[in-house]
Amino acid sequence: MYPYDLQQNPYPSSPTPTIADAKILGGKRHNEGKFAVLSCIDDLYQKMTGIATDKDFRLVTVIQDVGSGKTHLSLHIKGLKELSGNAVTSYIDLSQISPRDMNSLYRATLSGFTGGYIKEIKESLVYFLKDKAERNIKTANKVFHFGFFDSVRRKTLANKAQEILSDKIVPDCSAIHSLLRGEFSPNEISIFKRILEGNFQQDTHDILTLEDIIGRIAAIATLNWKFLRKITILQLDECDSEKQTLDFIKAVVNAHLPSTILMLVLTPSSYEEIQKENVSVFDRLEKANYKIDLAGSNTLEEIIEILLEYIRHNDDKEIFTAAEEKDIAAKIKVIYDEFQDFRNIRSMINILYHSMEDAKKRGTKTIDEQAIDNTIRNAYPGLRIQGSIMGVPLSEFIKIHRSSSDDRRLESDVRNAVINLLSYAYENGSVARLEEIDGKHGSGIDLIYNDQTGTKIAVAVLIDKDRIKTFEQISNRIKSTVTADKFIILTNTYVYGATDKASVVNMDNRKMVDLIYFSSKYRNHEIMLDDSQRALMLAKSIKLC
Amino acid sequence: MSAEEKLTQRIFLSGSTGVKKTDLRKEFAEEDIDAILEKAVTQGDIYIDKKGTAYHCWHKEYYLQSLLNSDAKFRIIYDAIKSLEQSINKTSDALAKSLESSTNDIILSLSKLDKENNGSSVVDKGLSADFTTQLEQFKTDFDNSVSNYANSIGWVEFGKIRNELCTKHDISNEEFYLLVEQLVNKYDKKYELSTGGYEGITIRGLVHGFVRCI
Repeated sequence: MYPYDLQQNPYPSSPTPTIADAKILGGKRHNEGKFAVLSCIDDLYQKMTGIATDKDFRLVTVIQDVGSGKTHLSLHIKGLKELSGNAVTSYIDLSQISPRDMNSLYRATLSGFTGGYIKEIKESLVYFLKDKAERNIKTANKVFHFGFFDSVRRKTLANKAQEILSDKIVPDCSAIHSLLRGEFSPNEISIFKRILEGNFQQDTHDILTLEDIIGRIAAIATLNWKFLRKITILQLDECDSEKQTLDFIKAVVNAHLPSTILMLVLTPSSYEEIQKENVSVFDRLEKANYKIDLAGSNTLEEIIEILLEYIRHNDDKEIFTAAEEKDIAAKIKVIYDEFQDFRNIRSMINILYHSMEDAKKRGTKTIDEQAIDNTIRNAYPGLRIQGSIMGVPLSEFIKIHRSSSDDRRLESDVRNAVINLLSYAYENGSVARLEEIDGKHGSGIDLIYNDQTGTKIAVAVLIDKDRIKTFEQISNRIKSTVTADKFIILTNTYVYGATDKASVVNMDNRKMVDLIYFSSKYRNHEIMLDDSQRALMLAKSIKLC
Repeated sequence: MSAEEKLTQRIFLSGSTGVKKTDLRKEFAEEDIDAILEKAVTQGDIYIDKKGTAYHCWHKEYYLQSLLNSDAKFRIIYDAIKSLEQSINKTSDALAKSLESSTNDIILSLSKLDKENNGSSVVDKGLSADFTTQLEQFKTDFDNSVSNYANSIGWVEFGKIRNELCTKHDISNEEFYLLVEQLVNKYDKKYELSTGGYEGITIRGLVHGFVRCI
């Protein structure tokens, strides 16, 4: 059993999304993107009248960085059940098409349609022909091989239609052109025939020019509307500035394919390259009907929402509590803050996938710090907390980070850590004399020591995020009666200033976590040789010793 | 439209299939099409070639496609050349990146040397009050440049704004990117980076050469 009583790991393990993974869509921005596309589809659908015309074409662009969830969004839209009644989608991943020419692009477009769609349209076409055959149109009967002996054997056209649909017999399409001429265009008849013969996705033999291809795609869209009352969506993922791709896009846009939405998925970099490569295509993209903007798709809030959605979706027992959500969100925040490399959804999903597996192996009920720490250590062995001198493991970092949300506790922990650090320095001979200020806390000074040159230094720790704004306020707080050659004020207030005798040293979160981590090791007598050197570096980094 | 333009248009419309010269002769019976075609061929607008037993004319936009469609050997050679071209492009890209990286290393070394000599650089200033002020001033100009140079969806290449800001703030390219990095880290909810481009900030080993304000 996985954490949170989940039956399976909710996070996908593949580096890029699959149709199955894309069933789940979390995040405010991604859902806004989804609704914009749905709105475009709905708008077009509402405007469609009896016959599909070139007025019924829409262009949609989705532009965002790699790993931001564009492909996920596209596949999610393709797989939406609520769209299955009014749209047919062909998803084309251009990165998989090489060499890139008009024929390979057309082949990919045909392959982008699902088997379910081909079955559905074939069924409609077969029953359309059956109706004609029932009206005693001879050439329609011929399609079904329906003859005298079939009547004797009491076989009906419905039986024959079923046999064609279950691939028991191959329809005779030799007379299909004469049967449908007048009612359908030559391209529509060719596609009609291909679908009936079961080789729709191999319709590339008699295609010679880009015009032929556009004609065929238009025919597919027309048949989709005529027989299924569905609009056609062509999703071109990984769009780039390659010449053949741009020619294809330009041709599709210029042709105003009937009842069709062309959805182009690309990165800002590709968009810029298209501008340089082909101004004409760029101009068309600029005039897209909908520009889906996933701005902020890599923000912390969005990433947390997406990650939580995977668990919520798989939580059949509905036992994933708000507190647990908050707990995971806090852990994600630490990873997000500390590792710039992970500020994208793809990397975060990978971390949580591995963390889930690790937690399952260790039998824990939640994703704990250890699971994340093990993941980062095993999956990304080279990573360290940025700027950490003590090499704090992520698990410890998360624990300390969480406990330091309270200023008072943080101040007390940092104060003790500084005392421990200087005690350690004294034991190692880096500090000549150490004097703790027991009972003199009113002075604001926490510690006095003599450095190796004999200079008497007084240290004060002042943790106060909000109230202190100026150096004068700091000086007022240290109402010291202690005499010393030099004062060092360790703070996190980001107030700057110095006098001849006093200097302020600002410490960021990482530095304070380093101190607290050292302190914990010191208390537990766990300081190793490596730690010893690091501890002295840490002391120097805050101008002690 | 002149006869020459009409003829060129007619040939253009025939696409990669081309049009028979004899058909053109019939269609443009009143014109001296040999002279017009000769001129167009000399200018490189039209190509004439034998297809089967007849001479066909193609517009320059479609002649290559026609050859690719009809001549398997040509197509193989064309593909081979394309593949070679791609390979050369990749190699030259790699070379350019390597050169860029070496240049950056040299700049970094020089900067370190300079820092050792003079004791002041953006990195050194990282924790000072001066630096905070400098970062805030830089932010104002940076935001202005982004909004001035951004495309319709808000993205802008760092390369487009770098020179202007370096001149204005009297900073080196390296210092520009250090400031940008600090800015993006400090205001991570305000800026968004995207991969690509020829220069920028490296994250996960990828050059992020585009930025926009959210």
